[in-house]
Amino acid sequence: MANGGHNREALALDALGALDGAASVALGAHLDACPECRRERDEMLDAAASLAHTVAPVAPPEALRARILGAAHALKLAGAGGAAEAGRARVITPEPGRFTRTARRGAWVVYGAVAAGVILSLLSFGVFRMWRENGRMRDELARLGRQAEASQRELAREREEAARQREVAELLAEPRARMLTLAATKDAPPEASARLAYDDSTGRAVLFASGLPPAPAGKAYQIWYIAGGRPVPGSVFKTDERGRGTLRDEIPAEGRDAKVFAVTLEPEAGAQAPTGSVLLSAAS
Amino acid sequence: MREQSDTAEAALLGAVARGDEAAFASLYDRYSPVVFGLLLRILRDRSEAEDVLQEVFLQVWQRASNFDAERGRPFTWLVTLARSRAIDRLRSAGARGRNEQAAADGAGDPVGDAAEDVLRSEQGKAVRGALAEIPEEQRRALLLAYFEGLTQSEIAARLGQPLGTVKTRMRSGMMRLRELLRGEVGGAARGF
Repeated sequence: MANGGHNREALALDALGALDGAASVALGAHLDACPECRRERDEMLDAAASLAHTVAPVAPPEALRARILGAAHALKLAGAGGAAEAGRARVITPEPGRFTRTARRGAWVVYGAVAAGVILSLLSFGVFRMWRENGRMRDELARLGRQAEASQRELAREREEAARQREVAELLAEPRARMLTLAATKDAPPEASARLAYDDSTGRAVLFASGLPPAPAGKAYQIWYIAGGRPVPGSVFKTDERGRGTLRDEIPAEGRDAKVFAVTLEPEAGAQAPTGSVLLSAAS
Repeated sequence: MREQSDTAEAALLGAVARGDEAAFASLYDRYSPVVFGLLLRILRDRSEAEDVLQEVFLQVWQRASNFDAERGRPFTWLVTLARSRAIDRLRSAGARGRNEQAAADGAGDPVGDAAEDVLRSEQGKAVRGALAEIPEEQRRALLLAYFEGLTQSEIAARLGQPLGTVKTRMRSGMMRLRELLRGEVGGAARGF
């Protein structure tokens, strides 16, 4: 490439999101090293963003506002809101090319743990007095104890959910992250589907499946990354009685430029080549 | 090209980055109509647009600290994020076909149609005015890229033009747009 690597056309195209994969990667590498081009690209981004003004604003429904603010509140409690990335501001998110991420510890769901802790300490205080008083009270205690255990299990499940949502959000924030929906084929229940979030530069992928009945004994669902017509095996996952399952996967190197994705039913340990029929699929 | 409104908006985003829920609600109230309008235009499906609106704002909530006020404007950061998420959603199975059908049904060029001018913001008028001054060939390519999410090769195929021509036109169009906006937006735009 002439001009010491500067590609002015690519800057304009990138601001419009019109660069194909390979060109985007090449530009990203150049931008990492060239502040002059970064500046021009940022100005192009401003111009592109102004196109949003040509569309009439539309007020979203009130219920959606409540959902979004509520979800933000919940994420904050799970340690994933705003302040989780404290410290120096870093480069603008839309810039292509990798940027480093600090490891996120993520706070536990403190308020829930405290609540469970309070229940338990109340229980132990009550024990002494109850034992001295009334036999009926012992039954009541046992019941409360079981409830506390159930709450703790529920809490652990919610923490898991929150952690997974954080992962997806982190994944989506990567400049090269993609998200797509796999739809049911004729061999799967019509309501079956899966959302896949993946980053082809790091290979991280997260899949949320729903509407897939629990696999029969000895079997599990498996994801396939289809690159150049060859299916590259991904990991296996199971679904619960609600038909939902999650998978965190590392896309093998040879599957990283997959454009087609599929889910099949396979032996529990996974297969090297698909044996079951395709249940869910999507092309990006 | 720094403006007072940019500084105020950057401060709001800074508060959001520190986990300030009231600031987040303010940000949502301020930007969601423009973002939602953009999502509806790109996705042409209300429930998809609602889903993506939620995705976008939750991403803003978790990634506000990534915004670097030295490097750009809050509006650009937010809108770029929203557009990326919308195009990702558009590319998933089925959505593309629906959108192409809608485009074929006559989505229309945002330039023109004076009766709708009254619905647009001041910024909208400024940008549409700028677009009107860009040669049609360049403008078509820009709009196909931005609102339909087509890549350079797809645009070349759609317009039946060589790739090189399309690339040159898109660059010229963006340069012209930037030039025209420098005069317009710097003066006319205040707040959102």
